[in-house]
Amino acid sequence: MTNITVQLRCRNVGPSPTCDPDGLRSLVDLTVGETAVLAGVCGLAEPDSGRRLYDLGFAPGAPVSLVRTSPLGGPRVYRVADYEVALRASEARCLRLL
Amino acid sequence: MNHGHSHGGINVAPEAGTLRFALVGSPNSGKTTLFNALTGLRAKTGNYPGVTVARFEGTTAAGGRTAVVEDLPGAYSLDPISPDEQVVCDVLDAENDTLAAPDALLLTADATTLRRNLNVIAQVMGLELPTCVVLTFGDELARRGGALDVVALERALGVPVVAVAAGEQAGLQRLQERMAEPGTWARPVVPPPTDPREVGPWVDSVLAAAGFRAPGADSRSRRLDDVLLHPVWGTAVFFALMFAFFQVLFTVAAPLQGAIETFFGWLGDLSATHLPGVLGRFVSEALIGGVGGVLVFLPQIVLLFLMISLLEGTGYMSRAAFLMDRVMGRFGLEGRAFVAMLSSLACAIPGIMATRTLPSARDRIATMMAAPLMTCAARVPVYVMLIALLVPDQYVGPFRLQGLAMFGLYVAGAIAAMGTAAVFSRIAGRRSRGLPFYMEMPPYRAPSPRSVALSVWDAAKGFVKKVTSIILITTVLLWVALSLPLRGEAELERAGVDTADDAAVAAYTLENSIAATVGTSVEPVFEPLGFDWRINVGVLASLSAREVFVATMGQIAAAEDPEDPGAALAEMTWASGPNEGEKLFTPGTVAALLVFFIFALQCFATLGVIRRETGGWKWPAVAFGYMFALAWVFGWLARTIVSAL
Repeated sequence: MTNITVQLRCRNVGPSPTCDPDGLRSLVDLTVGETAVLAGVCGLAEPDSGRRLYDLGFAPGAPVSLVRTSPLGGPRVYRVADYEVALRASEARCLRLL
Repeated sequence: MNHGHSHGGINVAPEAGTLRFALVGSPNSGKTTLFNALTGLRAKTGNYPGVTVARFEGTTAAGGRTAVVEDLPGAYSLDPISPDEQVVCDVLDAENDTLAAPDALLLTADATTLRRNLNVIAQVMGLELPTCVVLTFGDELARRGGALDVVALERALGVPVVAVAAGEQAGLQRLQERMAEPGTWARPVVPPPTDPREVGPWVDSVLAAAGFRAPGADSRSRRLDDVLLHPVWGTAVFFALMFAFFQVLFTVAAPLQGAIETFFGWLGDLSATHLPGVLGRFVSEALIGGVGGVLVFLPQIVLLFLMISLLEGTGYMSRAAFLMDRVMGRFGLEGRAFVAMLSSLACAIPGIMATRTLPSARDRIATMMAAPLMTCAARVPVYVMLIALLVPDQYVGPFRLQGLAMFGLYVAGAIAAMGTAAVFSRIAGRRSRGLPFYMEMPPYRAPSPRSVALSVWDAAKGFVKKVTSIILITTVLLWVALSLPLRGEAELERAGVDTADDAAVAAYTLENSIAATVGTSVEPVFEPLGFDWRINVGVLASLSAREVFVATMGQIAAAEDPEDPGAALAEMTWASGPNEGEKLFTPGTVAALLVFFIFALQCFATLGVIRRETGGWKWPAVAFGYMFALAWVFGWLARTIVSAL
C-alpha cells in the first residue's frame, strides 16, 4: 500500500469535536434550493463511506444545496464543490449541517 | 525504463527505453477521451490479474519516441473504496511488483470542477512521481461564466499544467511534446497536505492564486433535467427511448442477422457440395456453422453498444440510473444495472458487457449472474414450440391464451433475474465492504464521436476474438457427438433404413450417435422431469444455443413421420423403460421443459463473455451450475404440479 493511502485512511472527516452531532440538521432536512454549510460526517456504519463522501467534496465548511428530489424516497441531487451528485437518503442522513 | 513486469496478458511494444505513462483522474473528467485521442486504434484491452476490472493500454507518439499509455480506472481518491480504485493504488504503488509501475503520470482534471479535483490532485502529487495535470473542458468553463489562469495554476501547483480541448489538436500536441521528457517536469518543493483541516485552506489558496472563478450551473442541463428527471415525464421519456431503441434493434439488427445467417448457410451449402461426404458436412455444419454462429451476434452487439456508449457519453446514463435506482435498490442493485438487464431482453451478451458501467464489482457480478435469466430472443422459438404442445389455442376474453402464456414466461424470466440478483448481491456483499451509493450527474455534453466509435469497435472486436474459439470448439464437439459414429450403407440397409432418403439416414445416425448414447446415459438425471433420451439429446444440443432445440427435435420427429413432424412430436411415446408406450410430451413434461428453458444457461457464447468480463472460469462455472440446479428443481416442481392438476 502506498504511503499516501495509509495517510488517507487515517483521516478524520467528522464535525469539529466541540459541536454536538445529534443536535445538527442533516442533508435530508434541506429543502429544494436551500443552501447550507456542512459540519462533517457522522453516524455512518462504515468509516470508508465517510472519507469517500469527503473526497466527493462534502468537506467540513463546504456549502451544499439541494437541487432535486425524487418521489417515493429515491435518491436526491445535491450541488457541492461546483458540481451535482445524487445521494441516497441513507448517506445524506449522515452529512451534518452547521 | 522498462520494468519487466506482468502486463496482464497485454504485450505493448516493450522495447528498452520505452516510457510508460499512466492516465489518472476522476470519472467524467475526459480521461478516456484523452486516452483515445492519444492511442486510437493502437489500444488493447485485457483484465487486471485476479479482478473483474478491465485494462486499457496503448501506444502514442511522445516527441518523436513511442510511449506506452495505460488508462487507469477512474478514481475520486487514492483512498480506494472499490476494486477499480484499488487497482489504481496498486499500479501507483512503487512497492507492488506484480504490476508494471509507470514512469510518469498524466492527471486529467475537469476545469469546471477544479475545486473538487484539487483534492485528488493533492493526493497524486504526494506520490512523488513526475505528474502533469491535463486540464479538460476549459471551453465549457468559459461558456458557463467561469475563469482560470492556466499559467498561474501551474505556478501555484508546482507541476506542469496543459490545457486540452476535445477535437483540438494544438493542446494534444503540446501534451505529447511534454511527454517526451518527464524527467524535466517541475516538481513541488513540498508535497501538498492530506489532512482535511489543511487541504481546505490549500485548495482555497491555489484557486485564488490561479484566478479561478467557479462556473455557474449549466442552464441547458438544468432545463433538460427538469423534464428528463421529472418523476412522470422523465420516466415516460426513458421508456419511450428504450422502446424506440428496441424497435430499431428489430428493424435493423434482425434483418442483418438474417443476412449473415443466409450468407453462412450459402457458404455452408457451397462447401457441402464441393467437398466430399463427411468432410463437406463437417466444414459446412461445424466450422462454417460455428463461425457464423459467432458473427450472427455482431449486429446486436454493435447496436446495443452504440446505444450504451451514447447514453454514457451524453451523460444521460446517470439520469436513467437516477430514475431506476429505487426499483433496482429493492433487489440489491443500483440504477445503472437497469440498462444491462434491459439489454439482456434482446441478448444477454451485450447486457453482460454493459455491466462495465457499474462501479461496484459486487453489482457487476450480481448483474452478470442474473442477466442470462432475462428472456432472450433465442428462447422464443423454443417457447413457441412448447406452448403449442401445452396450451390450447383458445381465447380468454380478448386475449389469446398462448400469447398470455408467452407473456407469463417473460415475466417469469424477469422475476427470476431480479430474485437471483438480490441473492447474489447478498452473498457477494457479505465478504466485500458495502459501497455507499453516489452518482455524479455531469452536465449534458456531446460525446466525442471517436470515443463512441472506439468503444463500439472495442466491444465487437473483443467479443469476436475471445468468443470465437469457445463457440468453434463447442460447435465442433457437438457436431461430432451428433454425427458420429458414421453408418455404412450395409449397416443402414440391415437396420431397414432407406439409404436414398437423406432425412432417414440423418435420423438413424442421430438416434445412434454419441450424443444419443450420452442422452440415454443421463436418463436417470432427467427422468424425474419426464424427459426421455430424445429430449435429452435436444437439451444437450441446445447447450450451445437454445434455438438448436427446435431443429434437433424436428430432426428426431422427422424420423418418425417425415410427412408431419409436428404431429409426430405430439404423438411421440416412450420407447422403453417404466413408461413404455405412454405419451412422451405430457403436460407435466412440457411444463418441465418450459421451466427448464427459463432457467438453464444454454448458451456457450454467454459463458464465453462472462469469462472474458471476469477474467477467469470461476464465474461462468458458477453461473452454469446454479442455473442448471434451478432449472432441474423448478422443472421437477413444474411437472409435479402440472401433472397433479
